Amino acid sequence: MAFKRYAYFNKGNKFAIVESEMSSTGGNTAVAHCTLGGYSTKDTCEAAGGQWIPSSTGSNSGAIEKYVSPRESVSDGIEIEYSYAPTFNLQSAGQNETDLHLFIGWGSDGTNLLLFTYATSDVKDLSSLFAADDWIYIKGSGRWSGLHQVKSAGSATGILTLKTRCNLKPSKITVTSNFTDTLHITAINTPNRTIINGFTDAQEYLSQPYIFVENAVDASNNGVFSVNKGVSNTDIKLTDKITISLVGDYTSTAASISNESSDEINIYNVFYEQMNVYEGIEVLQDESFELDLTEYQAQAVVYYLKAKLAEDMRDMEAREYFIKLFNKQMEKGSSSKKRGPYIAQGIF
Amino acid sequence: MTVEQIMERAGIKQTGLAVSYIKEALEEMANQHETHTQTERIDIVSGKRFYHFPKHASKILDIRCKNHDNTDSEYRSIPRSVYEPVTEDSDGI
Repeated sequence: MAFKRYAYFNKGNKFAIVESEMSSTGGNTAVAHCTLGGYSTKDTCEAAGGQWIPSSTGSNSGAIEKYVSPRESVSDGIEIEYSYAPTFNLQSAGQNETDLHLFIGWGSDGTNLLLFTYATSDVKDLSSLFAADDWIYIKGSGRWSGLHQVKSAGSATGILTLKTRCNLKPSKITVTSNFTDTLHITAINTPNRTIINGFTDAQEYLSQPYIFVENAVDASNNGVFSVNKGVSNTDIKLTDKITISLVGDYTSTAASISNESSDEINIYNVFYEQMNVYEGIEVLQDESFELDLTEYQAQAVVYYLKAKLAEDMRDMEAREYFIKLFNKQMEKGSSSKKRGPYIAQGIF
Repeated sequence: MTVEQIMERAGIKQTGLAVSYIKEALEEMANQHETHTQTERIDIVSGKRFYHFPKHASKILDIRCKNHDNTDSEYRSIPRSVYEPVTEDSDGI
């Protein structure tokens, strides 16, 4: 694996990863030539009294370092360590297909966040697995990792709709089209071609677009596909299909679809991410919730609540007093786990 | 300790109010004292510069990259750039 050098900076609600790239300043190079016209070799040039100017190889050039967007894809290349508020307890045993479910990617219906999955050779029925208002915990998706609530029961076509707001452009289209064995989804008429054209244009910014096909008559035509970008704007050329094997491995194989005519389908814009979705989440919403805190930390929470009550009563002196107790309690709790002197260590 | 026990100690009778304040306290603890931490890995995509923070992250403690300053596939902390690079991201993603 190549040696790399990265840096990051924050921008709004995102962070940027940039990679160091060495490049040459490259001084101007000159082609070898004679000061007299008509001579192309050093010997004939000097014999005629001219001066031969050798070619320049850029000997005055130097190397500079600059930061650019990452040059190559790295699986699990970024590791973020963060703190979070323990407002939920994960009570899942993590048994695949029981309280742990694998999803292939995420997208949007224009309003809410959607998760997509597919079985080995057929759509996956989620209707008996997820009910409306269920809490789930997503792991493995950088952006959506965390707690979410299910909006409506899982669909029979492998889509799970969450209450989390998400608006993508493009998100979803409904078109009537033909599936051909050349791996094309071709719209049947001009109005449908216009819809597909708008969809593919909006996917243009993605280096590798993916789609999820729903409601195709032939089950094998449904699922998550990678798209060959730039072939045509009025039809969609598929390349690979992402499936989940019987033992729970993500598999990408060359797409194979069945010929079908005038099939009314839904196409979603998908971001391919291998996500684990856990069920069995206990969420802080009533008095029976057991907080994942030590006794010391729980006492600090009591002080915080008293501070907020004092604030509600406009008693700022009491508020400051309890906030001070809160902070002191937290510091005492964390310092009680430190033993011995600190040792200074170099950066390497 | 349960929410009910905390409510009794603090002398609050309204559950909704207590839950709201407890969530606020937990958020404050996560921000100032980092009581609960977690790591999450994200793929680096060629040409993609901007990435989202995990949804439930309260405070970022470290960002590490694979093979940063090494060739052993180790994750090492990367520095924060003071300035944005002069080379703009060509596609803005």
